[in-house]
Parts: sequence; C-alpha cells; structure tokens
Amino acid sequence: MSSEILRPPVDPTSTWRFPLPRVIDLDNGMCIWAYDLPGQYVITAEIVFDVALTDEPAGKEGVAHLAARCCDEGSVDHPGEALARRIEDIGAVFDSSAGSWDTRCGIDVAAPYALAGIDLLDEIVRTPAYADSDVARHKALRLTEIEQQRANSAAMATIGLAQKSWVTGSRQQLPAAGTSTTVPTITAEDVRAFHDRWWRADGATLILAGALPDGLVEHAAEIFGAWPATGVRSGAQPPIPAEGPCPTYVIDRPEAVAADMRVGLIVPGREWENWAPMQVATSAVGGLFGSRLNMELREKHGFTYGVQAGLAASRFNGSFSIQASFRTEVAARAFRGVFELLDLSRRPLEKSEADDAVRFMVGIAPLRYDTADAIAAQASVLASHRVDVNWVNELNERLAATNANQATAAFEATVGKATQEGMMRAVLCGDASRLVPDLRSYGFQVEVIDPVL
Amino acid sequence: MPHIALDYEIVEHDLDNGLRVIVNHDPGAPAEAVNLWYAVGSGDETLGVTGFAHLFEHLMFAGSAHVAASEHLALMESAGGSANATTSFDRTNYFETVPPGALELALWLEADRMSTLAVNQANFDTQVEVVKEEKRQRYDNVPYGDQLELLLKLNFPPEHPYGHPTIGSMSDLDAASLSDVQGFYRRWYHPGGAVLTLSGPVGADKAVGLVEKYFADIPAAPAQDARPFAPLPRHEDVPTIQVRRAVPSTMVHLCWRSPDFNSPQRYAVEQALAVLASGQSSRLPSLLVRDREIADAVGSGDFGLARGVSMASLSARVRSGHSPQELCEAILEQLVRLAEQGPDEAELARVNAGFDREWLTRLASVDSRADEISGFASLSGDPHMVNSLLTRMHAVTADQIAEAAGTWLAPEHRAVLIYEAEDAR
Repeated sequence: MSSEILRPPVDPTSTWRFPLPRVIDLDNGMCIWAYDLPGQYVITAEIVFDVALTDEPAGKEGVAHLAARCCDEGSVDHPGEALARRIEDIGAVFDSSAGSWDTRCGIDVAAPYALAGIDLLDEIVRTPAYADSDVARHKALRLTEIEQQRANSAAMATIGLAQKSWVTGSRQQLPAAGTSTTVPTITAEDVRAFHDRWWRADGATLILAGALPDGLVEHAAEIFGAWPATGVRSGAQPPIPAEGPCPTYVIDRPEAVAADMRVGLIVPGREWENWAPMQVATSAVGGLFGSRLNMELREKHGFTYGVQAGLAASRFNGSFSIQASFRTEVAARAFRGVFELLDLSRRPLEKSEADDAVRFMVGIAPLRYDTADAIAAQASVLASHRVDVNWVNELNERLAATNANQATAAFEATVGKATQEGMMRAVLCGDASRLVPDLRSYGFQVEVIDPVL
Repeated sequence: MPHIALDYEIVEHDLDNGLRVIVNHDPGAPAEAVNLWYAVGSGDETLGVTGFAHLFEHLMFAGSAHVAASEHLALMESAGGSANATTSFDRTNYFETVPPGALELALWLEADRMSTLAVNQANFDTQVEVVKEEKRQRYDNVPYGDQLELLLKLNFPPEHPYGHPTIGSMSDLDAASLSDVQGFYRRWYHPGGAVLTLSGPVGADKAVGLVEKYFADIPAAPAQDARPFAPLPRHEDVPTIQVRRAVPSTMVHLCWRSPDFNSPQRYAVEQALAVLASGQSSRLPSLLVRDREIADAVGSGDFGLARGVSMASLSARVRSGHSPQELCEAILEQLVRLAEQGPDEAELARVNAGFDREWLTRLASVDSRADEISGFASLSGDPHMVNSLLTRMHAVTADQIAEAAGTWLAPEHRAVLIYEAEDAR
C-alpha cells in the first residue's frame, strides 16, 4: 500500500434502529410480537412463559429445567420419537430453556415450513407427554452434566460466584437446572404438574421473527388464541444480593496449570438512571479489546488470553462481572492488577475512552441484531423482563448522550465503592496450595469453598 | 429439488497483483463484512515449529507501518465494528464487520498489514505468552482438552500436514523466534495468496473501487511452490488409541480418512453422517440414547480438510454403567445396516430439510456468509458454491449414501479413540 494513503476517516452516520414489532394482544392474556424481516429466510418462533425459578416448589429445584428439557420427547398425539421426526421432517430445530424469570421454547424453521412450525410449537408446549422414561433419562443426563461441570474450572468459578453473590437460601444461589441433591427427588408427576400450572397463556409472549410468510401471524393468533386463560400469576420478587465485606474465595483444583477468575457485583438494573453511564464505564474498563483491563493484563503483561468485563441486565437487577483465566504462577499478581484497575478514583475515565466505548456500543448494535434469531433472542429478553419493545433504541440514545464524568461516577458509586470497602465478590478456581499463599502475600483474605452443585 | 433457490449476488474481480476479490452486494444488510483468507494454516508447518501459523495470526495484530501494536482491534471497536481472526489447518482468516461508514478504515488496516508488518521483540514475546495462555485456557486446563491432539495422532502420521493441532506444542512455542517472522510473512502473506470478500450494503462497483484504492499498489510476490498435497489411503487393521484421564464420562470416537473438501464424494459422506447422527430422530441418537440408553449423546462430523484427505468421525459419550466396547459394537452394526440398505425416503428428506435450515442460518449474517464465500473461493476456486450447495446436497441419492457408508465409513477402515474416565462407573 502506498504510504501516502492516509488513514481514512469514519463516517458515523447511521439511521439504524432496533425493529419494532407488530403487537397483537390475545384475549387469553398472551401477546404476539411479530418482527417481519425481509431476507431472513429462517423463521424463529419463540414463546416466553411468565414463570420464575422461584415458582418451583422448595426442594424441587431443577423441575423447571426438566419441564423444558423433556417437552420435545413426545406429545400426547405423537408420543416418543414420532414428535422428533415431525420436527426434523421440516428441517426445524427446537430449543427450550428455563431461566430465572422465564421458560422459553422456540423453533427455527426455513420460511416455506413456517406454518407447520407454528403448529408444532403449539403441540410441543401445550401437550407434551412427559413419559416417565423420558423424565428419568433427562434426570440422569442432568446428573452427568453436573459431573461435567465439576470437572470444568470455568464452570465452577461461575457457580461459585453465583453462590457468593446472593443471600443464603435464595434461588439465585443455585444452578438454574438444579443440584445433585434436588434433581433426584423430582418425579415425572412433578414435571407434569409444573408444566400444567405454569406453561399457560397468561402473561406469555410469542415472538415471531424473519421473512414472515403471508398469514403466519394470523395463523399463530388463531392457534395460540385457543389456549384458555388460567388466571395463575408468577410470584416473581426482586432477589436480595449478599452484602458486606467478604474474603476472596478459592475453589481447589489440585495441580491445575491455570486459575479461572470470576469477579462480580450486583448493581441496580435498567431502571437505574445511571444504567447507560455504567454500560459505558464497564466497556471502557474491561468490555473492549482496547479496554484498561485487557490492555494491561493481556497486551502488556501476557498474563491471559483475554479478560472480559460485562454488565448484564436481569429482570430486577443488573450484574457487573469480570472473567479471565491466568496461568497459576501469575494468577495472584494478575488478580491484584484487576482490583487496581477497578478503582477509578486513581485515574478517572478519559474523554477518549468514554467516546470509544459509546461509539462501539451504539455502532455494534446493528451488527449484533442482523439476523432473525438474534432479534428474537433480544425480544425474548425484553418480554421476559417486562421491558418496552423500544428499549434498545432508548438505551442507544442514552449511551450516545453519556460523557466520561458520568461514566466514571456511575462506576465509582458501585464497583469503585465496593472495591474500596472489600465488598466485591471474587472467586478463583485453581490449585489452592499455590493460589492461597500467593493471594495472602498480596494482602487478600482467602477462604476455600466447595460450591453446592 | 430444494424448495429454496439461492441467488446471492457474487461479483468477482482479480487485481493485477493476484489478490482475488469477491463482492456479495446485500442492500438490506446493516453492516459490511470484510473477510480475508490467507492460504496458510497449521498444515503448512513442519515438526518443530508447530503452532507458528496461529502465533503469526496474533502477530498480525502487533503493528504495521501506520498502525501501532494492539491498535487494529481498538480502531475497529471505536468505529462501532468488530474484528478478529482464526487459524485452522488449511487457512488463516481475518475479518471485520463494520458500519458502512467504516469500510474504508477496515480495508486500509488490512492493506497496511498485508504490505508492512512490523513486529518487535517485546510484542513478539508478549504474544507468545498470550498464545500459551490460550493453550492453557482452551486445551490444557479443561477436561477432554487433549482429545483433538489424540484424534489427529490416530488419523495422520506425525509429519503429515494434519498430524498436529493448530495450537502447537508448548516447547515449539517457546522455541519460536522473532527471526522466523519475516520469512513466514514473505512466504505466505501476499496478494496472490489471499481471497478478499466483501458482503453487505456497499455496491459491487464501489466496493471494487475501494479495494483497488488500498490494495492495488501492494506488490505481487514471486511465484511460490504449490502447497503440499498429501492424500492417504483408508485405515487398515483398526488403529486404536486408548487413554485414561480424570474426566467424568468415557468418550468413544470412531474415525475414518474421508474424501477431501473438493471431492464430489464428500456430499454423500456428509449425508451418511447426517442419517446416522444429526438430530434426535437420526439413527444413532434414537437407538443408543433413547431406546437402549447406552449413550448420553452421539454426534458426527467431518473436518472438511482440503489436502487430499479429510477426517470423519462419529463420537459418543458412554452412559454410566455401560462399556465403550458395547457402544462401539452398536455403532458398527448401524454402519453395516446403512451400507446395506441405505436411508429410506423419509430419512433422506429429513436430512435434506435439516441441511437447508443449517445452511440458510449460516448465510443469514453477512460475516458468516462472507467467510463461506472466501472459503469456497480459496479451497475450491468457486465462490458460487454458496448458491449451488443446496442443489448439490439434494442431488445425493439413497444409493450413493449407502455406497459412501460402505466405502468411506466401513467398519474395517475405522480408527478408534477410547477416552476412558479414570473412575468410570
């Protein structure tokens, strides 16, 4: 390339907005959000049920997960594998999950089969067979999955962080899919009862996204509108974060060559007036490749393959988190480096850092939401969290109006304050015989834990 | 015939210096994807320098004449875009997805590092550490982390292009030297060794004009020797590796040396693998997971390798209380059955419909579509395959699937990896 060609400027002009759906309220309390996206030939249809994990009966944690996992193993009309064949005959793929504030069931299907896909989704969610043998098999698979998680350092660090982030006894402490204590107690009858009570039209949202064939939305309204209302409401309540100073927690994996780190703090959620500034600060501190954490720990010192901070919105809270893996011999030093960079009172964010973060977050949105399934996934989150369909656009406007001082102040009021007061939650999963003395030599108080799983 | 006839616009344009340019104009897309494939991967390394192609990928972010170390990614982020790169056996790809107003910046960045890479000892040393961290995080510190290495060892001789994993070995990474960097760069990183695909709302004429502006002055490299082509015969005598590791469940992998990426026979092999293990109702999950409950999960795949031989595999996690031998025997019975009888009509329709959805999903986003276009152009010379692949796949008959199973997935030509859990129950 000839050297006289100067670095080209960037034209930031963008007219993109997150699409707004056609909204149809059904008489039974269900709502349809239809996103017509020309050119997107794979249609996503996803139903979001209004049910929280706290709606599970005590001691049966994991029943929501089993209800989701087993529902496509056979229906009343098409028992056993006949249902899977019907799904795969039209090349569709079905997926389902139970999260803190919803259960979601979705089908992706090529546009020519979209009507049949809607009929199948209705059959799967309304009349699953839940045969005893299928529930038993999925219980066994969940218990195997727990063993896989126990063997995985990153998974254990994440599980450990959740257990130290919420007050003792809260559902948020436990894995969404249940533990090795609770899952064995769940019966097929428990699964059927949970389904019958909670998978219902009341408060549910059906998301349709893609190049929607003519008549698809009307067909979905007719099919799902025939589902009678039950009047049952979820008992979802804001969960309570753990508070007060705490030590650094270590989960022991003898002889591990590296340690997986998770650092977290529960913060206010979307309704917080500083949500957008906190997003900007999180990106500048650790969300971007060019962020402080990554430039210091990866690009300057080579301590890690990558360190990533994030700020996630849940229904009632937000959660700030950082994750990284460090080789054992530098883990404590890198860990101290993380905390030094969380204290912005030493070095407030500069204008260029905040501006870069804003341009990234606003600019990346159209790239992030460029397929039907990506739009459906975001819409499902909005439906689950009871947020307005225009939320993404409103947030982008607030991000664009955020400056470095506002970002620094939001971060200082939460993460900075918690850092100074020893209230950040931090878990390292690695070789405790080496990590514990190293961490103590840097002045950290340490407690070795064995998370419930 | 498929229900869906694809007609993504493909415009080809070769620069005088050998750079192959392909533009896929998609007026409705919100972003422009820039995707650059270099025809170099870990298959071009020799023993003793394993991992160098991937380390080099990291060094491509370590600075060029007009771009500081680490600046490439930061500039893309601050323009509201994303960028990354990956290394595989047959190629290294670099890609950006950007708002249309940042397309020129992305092209300028790629052109600058294609023409003037500038790595110093300090950032070389740092990136060696970063790559070693990547190896620890992704392979050495996770359960089953050495499975890929064992599969390659089982299927290819050590000196074969595919005989070692892309991540390389710790000792080779430690031995890597800054003095090797410029030689590798000159050998592999030049316009004639690359395919550049743009996919998104920028029209073909404008896109080609911008590529000309930033890449046309990069000098062509002297003619290079062809890359090694290394076909291998099918396995004989069932080569087997059995290891015991501290993992929760035993895994079994049945592998075959399969037709390479450009062989017309690969489509029938892929369809045979799909009939066996591509969805809940396919043969092996249905029989082994649901009916007999001797496996927790079954999967299949082909690596899509392009130097005269590839590798196909059927993998299963053994259900607690059952043996890997029991599971292997059950899989082999099904292979024989497929080779003798082929799939029925409903099975064939099902795998075709599943492939349609998977392929449409893969093409839905400009970044993955651009990558597929670069891939076909680079490996097979025909970027239009993104449009014709569904037709090619649907043309495979039940008899061809049976024949592929009998020829390429035959029990007598298998190799076996048993990855046994130390405390298997």
